[in-house]
Amino acid sequence: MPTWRIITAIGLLTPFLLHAEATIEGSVTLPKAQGTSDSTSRYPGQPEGSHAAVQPLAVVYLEGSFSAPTVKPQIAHMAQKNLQFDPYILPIQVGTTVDFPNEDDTYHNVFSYSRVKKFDLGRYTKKDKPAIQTFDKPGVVKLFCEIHGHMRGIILVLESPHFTTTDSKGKYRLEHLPAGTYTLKAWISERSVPEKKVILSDGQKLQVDF
Amino acid sequence: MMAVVLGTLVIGLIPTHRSVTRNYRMLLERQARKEMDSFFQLQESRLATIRQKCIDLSHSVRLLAAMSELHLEDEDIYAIAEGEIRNIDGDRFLRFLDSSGKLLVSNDSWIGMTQPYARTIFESRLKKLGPSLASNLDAQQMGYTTISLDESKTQLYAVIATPILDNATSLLRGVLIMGFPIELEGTIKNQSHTPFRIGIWMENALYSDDLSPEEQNLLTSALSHQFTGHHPLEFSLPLSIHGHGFLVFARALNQLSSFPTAYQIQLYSLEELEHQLRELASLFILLAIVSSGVALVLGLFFSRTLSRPIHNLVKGTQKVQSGDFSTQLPILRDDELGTLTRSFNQMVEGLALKEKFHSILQVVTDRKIAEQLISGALMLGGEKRVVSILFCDIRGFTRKTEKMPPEEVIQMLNEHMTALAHVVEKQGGVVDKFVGDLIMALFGAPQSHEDDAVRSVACALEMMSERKRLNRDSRYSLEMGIGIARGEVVAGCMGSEQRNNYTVLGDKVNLASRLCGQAGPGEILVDEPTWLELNQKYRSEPLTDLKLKGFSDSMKAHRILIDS
Repeated sequence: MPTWRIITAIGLLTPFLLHAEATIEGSVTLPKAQGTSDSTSRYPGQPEGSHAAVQPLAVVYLEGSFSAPTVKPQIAHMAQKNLQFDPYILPIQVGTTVDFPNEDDTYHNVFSYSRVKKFDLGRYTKKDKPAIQTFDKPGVVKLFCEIHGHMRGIILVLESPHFTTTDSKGKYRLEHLPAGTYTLKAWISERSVPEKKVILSDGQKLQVDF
Repeated sequence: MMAVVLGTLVIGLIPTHRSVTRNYRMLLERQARKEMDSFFQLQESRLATIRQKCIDLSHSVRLLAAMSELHLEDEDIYAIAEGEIRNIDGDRFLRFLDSSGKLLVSNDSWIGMTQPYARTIFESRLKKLGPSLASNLDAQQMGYTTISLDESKTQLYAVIATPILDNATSLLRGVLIMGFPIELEGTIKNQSHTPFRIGIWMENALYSDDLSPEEQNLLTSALSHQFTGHHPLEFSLPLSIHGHGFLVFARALNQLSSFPTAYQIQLYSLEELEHQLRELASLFILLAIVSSGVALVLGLFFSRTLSRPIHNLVKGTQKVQSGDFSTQLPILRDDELGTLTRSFNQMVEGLALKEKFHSILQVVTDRKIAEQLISGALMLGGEKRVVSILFCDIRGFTRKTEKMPPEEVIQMLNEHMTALAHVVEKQGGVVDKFVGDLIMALFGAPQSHEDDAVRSVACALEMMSERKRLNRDSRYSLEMGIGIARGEVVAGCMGSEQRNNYTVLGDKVNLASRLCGQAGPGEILVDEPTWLELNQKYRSEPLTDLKLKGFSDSMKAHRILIDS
């Protein structure tokens, strides 16, 4: 037997042996879309209906102990578009940096008083580049815009690298999950974070609904 | 009359009194309401600015963001608020409650009351009130509270609670509390017409700069009775302080508030009303006195002019009733009473005349006949009756009176006839007529008795004795002869319709006349039927040889024997 064949076979198989991934998918019941209607009078010069009702989405994530994150620190983006935060909710892993581009034609002033991360970007336009923020503590960060009182945004700083945002209908899919015992959580709102215990085995496809 | 006057006045006084009181109270109530409205509006206009400021502050995004964070320090929240607040001046007191109504604490003095003592009290009240406030608050609400700064000074504070709402989620994130002192005096007093005192009632206590401590105590006890159990929107209440009447008006200032209900109290004095009522009463009394006086005078006047003549008329009537037909009343007036008096006099004259007729009739005919004539019992025409007829004349009358003057003759005859007529009457007979010296009497007409015959004889005898007496006692001495006959005659009023008299007709009448003619002086001759009826009551002797003109020889007669 040639040794190189055995090595190649082992090499080809290793991924399957070492990376036995599970998948969880399902559907989360989302709350109704909320919108504020008093904005047109408050912001003169803005076209009417400049912000439609925002459909709050949920973030589903796996909590547990994972090996050290292999993900390199990335930059996430929380934009201001059509006088709303885009996305409405942004899950990131601890240590991620986020920038806040202004894609509107008006000033915005993004700030947060959350204990996890207090910051105030000041007023800036599309052309300005405000400072980026690194979130190194896990928790919920509530975003506001000083100028546009109706704007709400949430940055969910998670320890886990396994998270996803649902679509507008509440459907989600988590892939490449390691086997083990974990808690699956769905962050719907501050007061509503249902969770389910899951035991994952290699190659398992789990259906979990919230 | 005086009673009527007084009664009318009293009856008039009572509804007037009531009406005046009611109208005054209505006016007062209207005025009180107007003044309360203007106080309310004044307060509103003063508060409008600060209320708007609170609303603006409650809409601040940074404040909302701060209140939304559960882990933010109280001090941080106040620090953020500091950045948001523009132009908060004066002794304003700012505090926050979280979404459950818990008070967020701050030691910063610039947004608190300058006196820590007052601050502590305020905060403790907020702590108590907070949870209920937070659960009920959906819009800005007002409340009132008083804080005693020291022993003498109590300051009234208005408190505005503004909810901090997250529009996106409609969740209450917290409550903004703003308190500031308010003054009541000099607010509207200058504009009102009726002086009144003002105060605020809340939490079972009364606050006022206006009232004396005594008034305050009385008012407090009166109001606490009113407020036990229920909280009306508006009411009024009479009150008495030291015997003076007052009217209290109350209106809730913050009815639909989560804060305890505070009432605006206005105290009106009823002194003016009482004064007016007193004046009214004295006016009525004066009127009563004056009109009683007038009534008295009028009464006297009327009595003089009306009742006296009427009284005289009544007296006159009584006199006439008692038989005095000569009564005539003087006519003093030329009006209805005069006419009445004249009529009265005429009536009395008529009565007198009637009486005269009556008495003359009685004189002219026998009384019994007269009465029957008057009563209408006797009519023209006659009836057959059995009657005793008595004729009596004077013997030798013509001879005797030849030489006498006429007046003496009449006097003598009158004396004679009076006496004899009296006897006839006494015996139950009726004088038919006088013919010169002759008197004709009837027994049995117009009415009869059982013993008419006996009566006729008794009459004859008494006539004789009466004449004897007269012969003795008077100037004249005369002798009579009497004849009596009894039988059926026709009796009735005979003559013409215009003039007739009651008499009898028949054979027996002639017989009596003849017998009388036959009788000698002092003799009584009776016919057989009369004698038969006598039953020998009187002694008599039969007569023989009686020759009477017009009668047959066999006529029997008797002479009654007279005992001298």
